[in-house]
Amino acid sequence: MSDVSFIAVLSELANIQVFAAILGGSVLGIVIGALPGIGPATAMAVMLPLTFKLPPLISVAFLGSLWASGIYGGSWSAILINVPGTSMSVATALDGFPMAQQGRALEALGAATMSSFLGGLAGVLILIVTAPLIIDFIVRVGPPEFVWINILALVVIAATFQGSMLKGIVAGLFGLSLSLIGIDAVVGVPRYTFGTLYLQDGFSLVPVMIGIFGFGEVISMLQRPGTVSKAGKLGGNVFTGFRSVLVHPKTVLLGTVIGSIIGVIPGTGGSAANLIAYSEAKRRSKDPQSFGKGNVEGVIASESSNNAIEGTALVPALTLGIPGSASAAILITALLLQGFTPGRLLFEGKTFVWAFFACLILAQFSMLIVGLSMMRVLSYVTLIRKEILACAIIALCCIGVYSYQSELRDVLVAVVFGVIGYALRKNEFPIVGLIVGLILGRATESAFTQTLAISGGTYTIFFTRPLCIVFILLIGMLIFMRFRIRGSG
Amino acid sequence: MHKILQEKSIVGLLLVYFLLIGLGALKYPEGSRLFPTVISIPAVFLCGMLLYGSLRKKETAPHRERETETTGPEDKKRRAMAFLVAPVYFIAVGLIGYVAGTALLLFFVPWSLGYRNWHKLVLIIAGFLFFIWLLFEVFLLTPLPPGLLFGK
Repeated sequence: MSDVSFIAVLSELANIQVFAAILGGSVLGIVIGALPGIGPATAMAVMLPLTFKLPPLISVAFLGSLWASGIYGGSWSAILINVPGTSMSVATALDGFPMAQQGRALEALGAATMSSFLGGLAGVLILIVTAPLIIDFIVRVGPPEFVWINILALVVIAATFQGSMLKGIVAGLFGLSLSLIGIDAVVGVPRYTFGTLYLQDGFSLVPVMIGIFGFGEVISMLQRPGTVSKAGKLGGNVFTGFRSVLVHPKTVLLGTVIGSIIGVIPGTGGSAANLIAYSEAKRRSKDPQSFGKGNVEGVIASESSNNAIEGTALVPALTLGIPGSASAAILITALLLQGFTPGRLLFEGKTFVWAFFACLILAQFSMLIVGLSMMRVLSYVTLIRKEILACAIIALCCIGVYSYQSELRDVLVAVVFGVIGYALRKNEFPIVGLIVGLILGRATESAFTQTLAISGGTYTIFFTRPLCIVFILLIGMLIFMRFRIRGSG
Repeated sequence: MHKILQEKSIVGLLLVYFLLIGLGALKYPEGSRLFPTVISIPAVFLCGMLLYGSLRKKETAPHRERETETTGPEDKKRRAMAFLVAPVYFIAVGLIGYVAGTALLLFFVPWSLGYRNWHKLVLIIAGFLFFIWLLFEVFLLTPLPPGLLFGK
């Protein structure tokens, strides 16, 4: 931050609207995150169109806060009703729910709140330290290296995906193929548009994303009857939970380190991090038998790891334009829609970036305060009937997509992608791969053709430059490790 | 069986899709067809492998046919509703506009799925539409879709 004026960053922040956006994001994030099945990605996708007309910093501050609180909100339903709000809180339920059954729900919620806050704060600090370093490295990345980085991102998603790796690669290729639709950037010819004017600009990210996460979720939700939860009674003491976090600093550190490392790897998301952190905390514990029976360390490890992800997932997203998760992809979309391109250019408008980082830190504090104040009241939200909730999501998604460019055909695209997303998810294709492929598609094609222009049409350039070789080796190593793990498993 | 069938059809559809992308690219000029070809060739190959895998899965696991698929009339109704609600709502919004379409959606879907507290539903509809109107029409100055029948 040497050549950035601290005063300039402060003046960006000295706006009541920024604080209101962060606070609003926290409230909404916790409410939505606590609803099983609706993760922060869905919430961000639904809210994305509302941010179009907001100033850039307010828009990303709101989404960043929504993301942080959405992850944390997932712990509420995990603890109270044994249904993780998001896949990132699966491990939280393992000990959080037994704690609630023992009448220690508020203690578990308190521990989740404090460890989420500490993990989240650490993740953002890692982002602040590492992002400028990565930006210096980017100078050495030319078009051929960029092609390999994008391939690496798709392979990482496929290799770390818990299901079939082939499906992961196919999902990525499907996303890339969707980016082909529209006027191509090289020759200027309309491709796969079927003569329609609407498709000439290609698929916008907004309807595709809202369709996959919003409408796709509705299809799942309407098939399962009942209320969102049966709401447990709250007991215990929040501050006992706070204290238990402070007396287990090693567990917080362990969760934070695991979450931070996994967050940087594109496509892994928090689904893996919380489970790995939980297993590691259990392995290192003096009393591993108590895990799964209401050990607060299980909650602490899981929650500190999943909230550390937000910051570090933004490292590849903001520096290389490669989103580490679906939520990061939506945040990148918001930046693109506001006219900011991730990468070196984004960091050249440095005041904005540092102000955004400051907003992410404020978002952690806001999450802590809002989480504490809403703890009791919000348990009632999980009493909403799924039939009503699903309809409200449909209506919100519809108006959200429509408001993007006042185009009803965008809503149709979202509905179609809702079905496609549902079908792919149901058959265990990683949706993140599709989204990342769609986001990277156009840039990859440009880099690919630029490389061939540089080399005079020969492909050897992709295999001879030193950095290209490093990326090829990394890709090979990932695939090898994946098959080795599968083989030994 | 249901799952395997679904997987087979999805992978089959993807295979056809990538074939069409690859073949469709042939009609474009050289610079424009290169990248679609680069994508479609490995995609077709991988989909072929997946399809072969899912066909083999059928042969090796015939006893796992009926898994957890629920087939009661209520489940069928819910499944049909889950897939039809969004497209029907889209048509309704296009015809009668957002306000009327949303009111019908929020009333009839919960009602047909067994929720009978109409007082509460009316309150929810009024509250939800007021929130949307306030947010979009008043704050964001974005008009709600009026629909073909009521549009100017």
